[in-house]
Amino acid sequence: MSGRPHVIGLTAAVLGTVSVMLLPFATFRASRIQTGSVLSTFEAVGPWGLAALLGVWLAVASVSTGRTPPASAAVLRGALATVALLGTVALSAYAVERAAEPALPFARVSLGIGAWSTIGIAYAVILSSRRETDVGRWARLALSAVPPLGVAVMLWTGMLDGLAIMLEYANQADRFWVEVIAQLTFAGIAVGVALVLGVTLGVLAFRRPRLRGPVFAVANVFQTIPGLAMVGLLFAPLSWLGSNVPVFERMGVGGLGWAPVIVALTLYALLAIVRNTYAGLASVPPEAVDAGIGMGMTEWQVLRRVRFPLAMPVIFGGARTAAVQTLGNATLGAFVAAGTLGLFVFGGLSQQAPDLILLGSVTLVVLALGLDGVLAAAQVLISPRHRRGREGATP
Amino acid sequence: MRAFRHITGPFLALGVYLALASATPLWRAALGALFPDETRILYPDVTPLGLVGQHLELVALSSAISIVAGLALGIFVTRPAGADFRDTVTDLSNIGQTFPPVAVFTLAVPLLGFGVQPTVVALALYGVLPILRNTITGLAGVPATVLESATGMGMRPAERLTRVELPLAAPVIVAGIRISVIVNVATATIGAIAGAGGFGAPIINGLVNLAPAVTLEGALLAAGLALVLDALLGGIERTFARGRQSEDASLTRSR
Amino acid sequence: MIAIRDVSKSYAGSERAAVDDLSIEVPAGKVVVLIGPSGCGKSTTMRMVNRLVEPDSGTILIDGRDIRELRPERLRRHIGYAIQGVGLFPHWTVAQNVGVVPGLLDWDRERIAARVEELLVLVGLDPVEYGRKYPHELSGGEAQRVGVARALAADPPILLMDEPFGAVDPLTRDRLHAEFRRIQDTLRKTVLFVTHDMDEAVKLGDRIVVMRDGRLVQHDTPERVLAYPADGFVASFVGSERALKRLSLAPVTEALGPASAADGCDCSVAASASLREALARILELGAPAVGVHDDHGARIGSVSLETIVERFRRPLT
Repeated sequence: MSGRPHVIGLTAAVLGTVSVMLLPFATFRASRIQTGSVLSTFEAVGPWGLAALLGVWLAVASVSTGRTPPASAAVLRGALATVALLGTVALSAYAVERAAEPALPFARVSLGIGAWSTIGIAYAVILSSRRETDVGRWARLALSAVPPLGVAVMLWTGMLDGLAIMLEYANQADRFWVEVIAQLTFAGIAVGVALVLGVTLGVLAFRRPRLRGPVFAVANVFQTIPGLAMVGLLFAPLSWLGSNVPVFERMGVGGLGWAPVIVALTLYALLAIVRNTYAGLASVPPEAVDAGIGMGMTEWQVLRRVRFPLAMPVIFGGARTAAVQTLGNATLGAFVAAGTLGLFVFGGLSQQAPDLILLGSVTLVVLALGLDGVLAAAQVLISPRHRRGREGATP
Repeated sequence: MRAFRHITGPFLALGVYLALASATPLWRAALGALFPDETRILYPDVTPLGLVGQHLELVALSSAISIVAGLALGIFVTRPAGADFRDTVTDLSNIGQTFPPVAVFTLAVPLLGFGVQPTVVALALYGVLPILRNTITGLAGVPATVLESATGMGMRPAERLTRVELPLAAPVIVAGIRISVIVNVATATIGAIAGAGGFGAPIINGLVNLAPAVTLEGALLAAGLALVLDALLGGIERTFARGRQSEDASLTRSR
Repeated sequence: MIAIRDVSKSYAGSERAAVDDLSIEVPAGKVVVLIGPSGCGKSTTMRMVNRLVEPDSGTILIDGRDIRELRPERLRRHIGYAIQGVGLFPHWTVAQNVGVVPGLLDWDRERIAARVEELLVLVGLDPVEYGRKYPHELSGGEAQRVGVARALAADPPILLMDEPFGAVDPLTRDRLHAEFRRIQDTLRKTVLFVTHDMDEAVKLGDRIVVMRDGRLVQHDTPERVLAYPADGFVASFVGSERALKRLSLAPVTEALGPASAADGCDCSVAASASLREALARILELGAPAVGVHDDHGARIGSVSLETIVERFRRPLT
């Protein structure tokens, strides 16, 4: 014996094996909206596919017993999990090929709960490997980058084009990108407006203690009211404005369309930005402020040149939270004839068309994770530690 | 009782809310006066109170599942037996919280089916995450000296958990429950599309049929319920935090 | 009585043993102070007594019984435990904090209330005023007192104290020391006390155990540790003023000269005073000697620089 067994690795191997053996790998439907029949892993990908998946989990288990030195075990486990993840996606393409029947040209194959849980479990193992101290910087980077890149390559080469979700995409291709752009545009505009309003209110709450309670209370109310209810509350007043005030009429304001979406999203995004602006300004070390005052800065200069730069990472963090939330909430546009991915998601729900729901929701999740990742990277870039590193030479 | 002073207000508000919701004629009169030209005033199939019942059922069931699962998992990974899972569970719940709640809901529905029960499970799935995260944060935040004192005085692990750790973590855990419940109230309005009823039904019905009164009925009921529950859970949060230095709750919350 | 016999403990990932074949006895009713630099194993030693840490080898006996015979929780409920930073439960009032262990032992409510009141009086806190306060409303010194009261709550025969006065200012600490001695003089607990402060050790301990790298370096009375440090390490640890520290340990009665030496001087110290106080008077007055009087004011002798030097020259037993 050389080390402790790796509990996550062993648990994942057991759960992974259970997913492969007992849960349906895929669903087969004769057409888009017919109820499907489930396929076990054996039925979906044949004996070799089944053996390959079981083999990977067995390998994960064997490097997790504690006999492999921890450093190489962590990297190996991450690599094996990456194989399990990408292998499952690749096997789904193979399942489509195996299930194809000339008699049923509109038949569809989509991933079943077993395949999804295999992907989820594999990803959990990748996450745990990435955390391990023995894993070097490059291995860590590879573990982060290879899974999404692998899926992207498979998408790019058309390997997955036979999957139900991709057939659905092919059906919707022209509308798809229009709605993705609508989704991003609504979220972008709303967060932009919320940033201007929210930072102003945050500064106000900081400078005027008496306003702090009311500002937070109102922002909290806006975030607490469900998005759909907010859109509903705005329906009548915005309709009235749009048909009675010429300026708004020309701008296209109405109970339906872009106006309720932008207003609802902006109000919803306020709290995170106001709160972080206030918290950021309040958390600036008093010594820094004293130093500024001591050098003869005015109150306004202290705010602009000392407090704001130091509070920036916190404010940015609030903007990041707000942006990711807003991106998801923009689906509300579908309810007020403003488009967005909500059209697919909610359209799919009401038509009971699972592939359409999946197309919309998976895209939504990818966009949210992508945005969060980009903003997280940006947050690191603007954080003080980075700045200190770069300007290390100047005292 | 001083101990209950933070929740008497919210409880009164809940009572007023339910009383107003049950006064169907009042709704008809008020919305009729607001929209004199409209023929469609109230949602035809269900009374306002009936909508509240449907919505509360969805939220109560899903939140109950979320609370039990989130607490149990959060407690497990902060015990020695589950310590190996803690980092990975934390990572997963952080990533899960980046998912739009709507997407979690809509991803779960096709896998689970349409109707009330799948909607409840789908809501519960996302609702676990904030509770799980806050349970871990809260339990991990109990000072080491306090834990050592408890052990050193002869408390068994279970006594230590129930008498020291959970009470100390309670404000943070309740803050997580508050976030979870409010998100569930909001996501449950979408449940109407999956055939689960609730406030989403009149809101969407009114938007689709251009009947602003019907939409406003659902929107007011939904906003009211969310605000009342938020106040109630906020009050419970403050009640648990009594005796400790008050922190600005709005600053320590994040959604 | 606590008997620690041939106990060793190593932690995973550390080459050196935290505690290496250590044997110590704490006689009933006495205070033994474990002292040494950070990482010398003193806290680990203490934590093995209430089984917060299990030794790799060796045995620990309390009143002749192996502590492994008892479930850890039962054992701990009969050992008072006070630590640095106090570890008061922030969600309970002072009274609730002090009443924890009696509660765990299923005392009835009235008995707990009476005990809490008694203890708060003992540590010098007004039960009415302080009983209902929460820990965050206490000063550092008050919190330490509550910590001590809590450790004493179930009247345990044994107390373990890990730098219980570590986090307070020097003045408060002096006061807490005096009170600890006063309480110990009445209660006569068997106390194992951990500190890294030699002044505290000298003041509070009946015996001092100096530790280094998990091993016992010297086990002696405070005065002998000051007078005869076992090696250079102990000498540097007790400090270059160790002779001055000894002065405060020895009563004037141990260096009495003839009463006539102080004739003509109106100055006098009580028989209970330490040599340190006597020396201070001598320096203050510039007199060759000061008189010593008993409780009735009758002069029973004198102390001079010569008698003090003579006292220090005498070997200690």
